[in-house]
Amino acid sequence: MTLAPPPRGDGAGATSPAALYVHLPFCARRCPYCDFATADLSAALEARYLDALEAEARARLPAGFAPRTVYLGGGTPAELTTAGIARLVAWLGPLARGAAEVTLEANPRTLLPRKLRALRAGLGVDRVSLGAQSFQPRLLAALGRVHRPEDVPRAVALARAEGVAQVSLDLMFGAPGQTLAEVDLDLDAALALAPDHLSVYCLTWEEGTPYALARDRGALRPRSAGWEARAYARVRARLRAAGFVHYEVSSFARPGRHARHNTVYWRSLPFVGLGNGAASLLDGARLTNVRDPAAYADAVLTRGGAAAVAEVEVLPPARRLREAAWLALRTSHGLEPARLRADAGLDPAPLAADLERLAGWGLLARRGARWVLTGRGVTLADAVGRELLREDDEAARAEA
Amino acid sequence: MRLIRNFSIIAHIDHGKSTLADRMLEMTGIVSRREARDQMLDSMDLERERGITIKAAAVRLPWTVDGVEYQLNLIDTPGHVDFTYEVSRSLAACEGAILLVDATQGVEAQTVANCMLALEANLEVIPVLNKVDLPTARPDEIAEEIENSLALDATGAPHVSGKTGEGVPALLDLIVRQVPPPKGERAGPLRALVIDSVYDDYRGIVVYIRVVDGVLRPRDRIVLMSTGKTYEVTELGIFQPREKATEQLEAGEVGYFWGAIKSLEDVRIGETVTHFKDSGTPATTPLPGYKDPQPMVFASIFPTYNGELPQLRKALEKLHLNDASFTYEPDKSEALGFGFRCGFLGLLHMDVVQERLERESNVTIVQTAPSVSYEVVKTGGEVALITSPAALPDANFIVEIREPIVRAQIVTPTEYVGAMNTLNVTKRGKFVRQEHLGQSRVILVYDVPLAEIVYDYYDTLKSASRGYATLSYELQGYQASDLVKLNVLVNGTPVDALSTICHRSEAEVRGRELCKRLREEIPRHMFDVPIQAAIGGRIIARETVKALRKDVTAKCYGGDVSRKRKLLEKQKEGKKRMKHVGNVEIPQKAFLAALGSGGDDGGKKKKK
Repeated sequence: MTLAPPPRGDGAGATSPAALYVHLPFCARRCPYCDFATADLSAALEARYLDALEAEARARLPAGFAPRTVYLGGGTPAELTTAGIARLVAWLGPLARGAAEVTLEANPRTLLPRKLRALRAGLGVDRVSLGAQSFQPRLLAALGRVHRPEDVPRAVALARAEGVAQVSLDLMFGAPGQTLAEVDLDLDAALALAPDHLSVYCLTWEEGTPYALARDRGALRPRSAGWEARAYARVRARLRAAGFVHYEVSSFARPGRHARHNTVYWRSLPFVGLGNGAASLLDGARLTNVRDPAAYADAVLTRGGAAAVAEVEVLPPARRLREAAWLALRTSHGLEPARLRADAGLDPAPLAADLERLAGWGLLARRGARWVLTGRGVTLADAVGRELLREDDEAARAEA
Repeated sequence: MRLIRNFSIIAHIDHGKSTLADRMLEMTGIVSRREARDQMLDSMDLERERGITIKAAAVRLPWTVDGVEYQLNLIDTPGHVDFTYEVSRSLAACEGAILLVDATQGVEAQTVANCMLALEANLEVIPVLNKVDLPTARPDEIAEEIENSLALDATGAPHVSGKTGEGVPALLDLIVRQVPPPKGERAGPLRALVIDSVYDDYRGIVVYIRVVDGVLRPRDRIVLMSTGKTYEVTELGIFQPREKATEQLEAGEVGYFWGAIKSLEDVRIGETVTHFKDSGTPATTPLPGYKDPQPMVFASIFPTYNGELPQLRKALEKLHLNDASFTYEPDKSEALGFGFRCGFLGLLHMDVVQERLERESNVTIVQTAPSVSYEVVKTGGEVALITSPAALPDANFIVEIREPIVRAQIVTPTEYVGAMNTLNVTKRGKFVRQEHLGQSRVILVYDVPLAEIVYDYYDTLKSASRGYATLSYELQGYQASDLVKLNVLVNGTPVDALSTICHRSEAEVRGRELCKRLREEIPRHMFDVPIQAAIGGRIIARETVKALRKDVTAKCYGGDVSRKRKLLEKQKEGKKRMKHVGNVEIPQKAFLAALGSGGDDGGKKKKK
């Protein structure tokens, strides 16, 4: 069992950023497992935030910037006020309309015709990613979601009716108490809606979230790693059988419908992120913006757009290489030395011994010039990552 | 000389020896009650804390009986079985001993052991009942126990209370009357017995002595008879209780001297000091009984952080200056890196050294479980002393392996005799004899391999007797035994740091235990990790750490990349502290758990 063959390449340039991420942190409510940089809805903060966003864009985007992909993430961008949408479209519209893929994240319950229409008209949104998570009322309640199962088909129909070319659904498995039968039911329900793309996530217990705290108190009991492994295998088998390509750890697409924007992240290609908590990869440096939305707005509005960046991490080439290899291996395309050289100017030769070792354990396999994770390797991608991210083996061995 | 009385107090641990000594200091007026810290004689914090005496000290007490002032020298003795030799040397400096017995507890194992030492040293032994102020005291019953177990007349044994001071003046009178004055020749060639020595940053080694014959003065040149080394005495004096310089120390007296002696190893306890020929007539024969201290229990000590090796070395050097009876040499473990193999007189000694190391050096250490030394007779007839399993030669070159055997004395209430016999059967103990101690208690004597004692004998003894049984033991010598090296293979690779030497009959049980414990401690890997125990090429136990089931982060988008990478790197960093055996990462904890004895507390065992 190995990952499917790679989706077609994007031919993205290596030097100038080709992807733009815009973070819109507002949510009707926060989900208890979520550790994203989100904020409660407030018209006043929204206005300030959107001012800051534009200021940051003007300060940080290169002149003549023409992103190939735009991603509106959050939070819940589709929950912007009508005035807010107009405000955003005013400066982002010209940039987004030239892009080949503009994705909007949305909540199945709060995706409204008028707003979708405005965003589509103003920004050229042609891909909607809906956070369905589950179709079981019990699990939706456990996950603290505001929507009901019947909201998902309604939102999918809406998107289709509005002419959105691609619809993606997020599903989640591994909630406390979930059964394998319920995983099947969710897959049935999702497939019945004929999505172009599915992101199926195993619940992550992020430290500090209400979920993790409840677990630590003993109030929630996570499913075992064995159960998660079985559920994950089930998801992969069923979606492959339904004609989906498993092209990244959690991502499944009908042929040709993979998320081009996300592929930029996984190929370590440059991208710009705007908004609170947003990340950028520019000239080999990873930048992270101020996390809190209000603090972000204050920083940008008082000190200028460049003040949005709170952290700059410049990785030495050896670490960049290992990071890039780890990210690449999470995709079905895998680690392709020639592409790594072309995309990021990194030579994977120093990884040879690590790759061979992992192959010896049955976690990696060679596919022509590429290294890809085996089926078992995908299930243990973090363990593989840890092996690869060991940046100073030699020192460690000398010490031992 | 006829006005001198040299005596020791001997007792089981916690029977109140130090408290009684404090009262004596107070009542002879050399310290006021206010300045008398509790347990004046024990100068190390550690001793005070653990309530045990580690280093012997001596103090001169003036006491007047019938208008004549006598010089009483109280020579303190270490209170634990590990220090039998030191106790015997302290006793050799005395003419009498107070056998202090807790009137609420009765005779215990160390009471018997120490009393035997005192009788062997031909001392006048005065049984004394302590803690008579407590409502649970049973002085008559305990007196009978003393008579039964030690054959000492305890009918008139003084009743004292170290706490209240009751009976202490009468006891001091009794010491003057019953303990004989020293016999020695003041005019003869100098012979002084070294009873202890301590290191001091300014003066070097300060030597505590009992002068047996002759007179010692400042600026005398002296010779240490076992090594032939010579030194000049810079200062000498007595303890009152602090050092007080005097002009001479003469036959029968106890005191100290110092004079540019650099290392404790040069002045071993039991050594005889005499004059160099230009300062007086050298003695021809040394005082009897000198022995080199022999470490019996071995454990390796590693810095928790490899970078702290130099600090650890320094700390060991410094500690060795203060305690020549513990040894150390560089050691390397594939598991724990570079460290030191240390030899100790016994388990308590080991704990004391370990605690002092951590306390005084600020180095966090990892200590392996203790093991013993073995005599290995090789095919060429050569006998090698092996102090770690890794050093054991291939079985083909071994004729026999001998292990140290101790004579263990257990004092226990009669209802636990059965449990004690069972314990000794499982611990390869050989029954020697049994004696009744009063109506309700028994002394059991067994010969037991020291390896069993350091494994979990003491803990088992305590739990099998609900804490009532007490133990003392003394080395008997080495005996050939059917011992094997138990190897541990992790993922097919032998791991020397996990190997142990044990009796063939126990190998399977140990092997299974070892594999089980390792299975608990070794984290899941990306593949199954077999753990095997083997004797030679024969596998006798096996466990498997099953491979990881699932280990993958679901979401990894733009902003997640840095965070997840840092998380994975951090987890990797945590693994760096683990030891790599082939492709398997073994946490230090696993080594300690595996090396640990019966309990689940790993290599660090606390004993008292």
